Amino acid sequence: MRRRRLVAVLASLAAGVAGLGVATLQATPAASVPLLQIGKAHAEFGPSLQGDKPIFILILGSDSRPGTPLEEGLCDSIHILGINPEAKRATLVGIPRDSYVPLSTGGTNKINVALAQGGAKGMVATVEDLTGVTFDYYVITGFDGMKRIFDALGGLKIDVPYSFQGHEGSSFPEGKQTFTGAQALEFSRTRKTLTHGDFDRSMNQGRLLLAALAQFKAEFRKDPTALFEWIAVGMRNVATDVPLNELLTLAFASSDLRPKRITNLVAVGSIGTAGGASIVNLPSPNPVFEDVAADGYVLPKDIPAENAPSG
Amino acid sequence: MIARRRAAVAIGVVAVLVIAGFLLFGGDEPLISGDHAGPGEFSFHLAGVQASPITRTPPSALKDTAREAGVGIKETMDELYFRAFVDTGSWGDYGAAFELFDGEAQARAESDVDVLTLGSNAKDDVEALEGPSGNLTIVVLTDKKDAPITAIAEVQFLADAQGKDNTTTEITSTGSFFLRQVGGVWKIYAYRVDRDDQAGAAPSPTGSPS
Repeated sequence: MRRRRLVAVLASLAAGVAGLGVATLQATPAASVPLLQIGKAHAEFGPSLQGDKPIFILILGSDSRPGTPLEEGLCDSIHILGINPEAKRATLVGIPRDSYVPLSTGGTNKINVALAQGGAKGMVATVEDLTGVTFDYYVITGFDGMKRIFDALGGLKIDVPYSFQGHEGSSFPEGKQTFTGAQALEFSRTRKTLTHGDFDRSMNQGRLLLAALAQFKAEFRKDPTALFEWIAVGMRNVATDVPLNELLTLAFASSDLRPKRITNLVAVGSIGTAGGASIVNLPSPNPVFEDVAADGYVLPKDIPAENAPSG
Repeated sequence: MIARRRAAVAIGVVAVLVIAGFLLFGGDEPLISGDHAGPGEFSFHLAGVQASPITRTPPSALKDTAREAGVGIKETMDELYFRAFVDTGSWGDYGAAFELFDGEAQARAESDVDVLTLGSNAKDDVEALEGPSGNLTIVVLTDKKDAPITAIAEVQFLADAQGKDNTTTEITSTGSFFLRQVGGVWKIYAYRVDRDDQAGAAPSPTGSPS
C-alpha cells in the first residue's frame, strides 16, 4: 500500500514536471488521492515440483480391445516423458513399437510385446533396461480410452505440420484443426502413409500429447475448474500408478511449462527383419537415451538430425 | 368440522415442511445451513456445490458427499474473507487469515497481502467497510473411493471501503481457491485472485448546513 502511495506521488510529480508546474502540485489537496489502491491487481500461487531431480513418466498406448484389460494388449505407443523441475524443461522421447530389444520377461523381441507379457511392471522394466531411465510413474490408455478422453474434452486442438491420409481414410490437412476422439486416434495410429513410417507415427503421437498439454494450459488459464475436468476425464480412461495428490501437483507444474521448453523427438534406428517380421534396431549406446536419462530433458540443439523425422 | 380443521392444519404443516426441505436440500444447487452471517461474521451466498468424480459414478450420485465437504469449505472461505476484509480487529494483522493457507501457500499469501486482504495499511487508511457480500461456488474432486480429495472454491466478494480521507472505494475480489483437508480443516494450497477496485461515489457530506 505504501508503495502504491509512493507511485501515486511519483506520478503526480511526473505530471508536475511535464508542465503542470510546482504550484499546481502543491495546490492539489491531499484528500483527492485515495488512500486505498484503485485499479486491478493479481496474485496467484500453485504447488510446483521441487528440486533438481528429474521426474520420469512412461506413457503407453495399448491396443487392447474394449473389454480387455489394458495390460493385456500390445503397446502401440511408447513415450518417455522427462520433466526437470529446476530447468523448467521437459522432453518426450518416442520409442518405435517395432524396436527389437531384450525384454524384462526374457528373450529378445519387439518392445511392444513387453506389456502383454509382463504387464505394466514388465513394460517399465524393459524400457528402464533399454534406456537407463528410472521411471517414477506410468500411464496407460487404450484406443477407446483415448477416443473418450478427447470427445469428453470437446475435441483436441492441434496444428498438423504436413498433410497426409489416415489409415482409415480420414484426411489430415496441414494446419490448425480440432480433432474428434476418433480422428485423434487415427492420427496417432497412421503409419503406412507417412514418409518415415513408424518413426513419423511416433513423432505424431508426441505432437498429440503436446497439443493436449497446450490445450490444458489454455483451458486452465481461462477457468481453474478445467483442472478437475481434465483429471476426472483422464483418470476415468487410463490405468496409472500416479497418486491423485501427485497428479494434482504434476498438473499445476505442467501448466507452468512453456511449450517452447518441451522437446519432442523419436529414438530412431535402422530397419531390419527378425523371423520375417519388420523390426527397428536401435543404436547402443544411444545418445538420446543417455541425454534424457541424465537430467530429464534434451535441448533442441542436441537432437541428432535423424531423431526428428518429418516435421 | 374439527376433523376438517385438523386435516387443513396437517396439510399446512406438511406443505411448510416440504418447502423448507426443498429450500434446504432440494434443487441442483442446495443451500448449506449457515448461509447467513450472524453479528460479527461474514457468510458467502453458496450459489452451488457439485462433485467432479474420477470414477464412473455420476456426479448427481455424489451430491451428499459434495454438500458435506462444502460445509467445511464454506467455513474456510467465510473465515478468510471475514478476517481479510470485514473484521476491523484483523486489519493490518492478517495472521488469522493466513492460518487458513497450507504449507508454501501460506508464505506466498503473506507476500500477496495487498491483493488477498484489505491491505497492510487498512487500519490507517480505512474508516469502515460497508455492505460486504459475496457468492461462492464449490467443485469437489473425489477420489477412487468417491471421497473428497480436493476442491475449488470460486468466489466473488464486493464491499465499499470508506477511507479516512473521505473517499470511497468499491472493493471487488474475484478468486479461485484450491483447498484440501489438513487435520480435518479445509485449507488453501493454491489460489488465483484478482482485485478490481474502483473509486466509488463520494460519501455524502455530514454535519454541513446548507
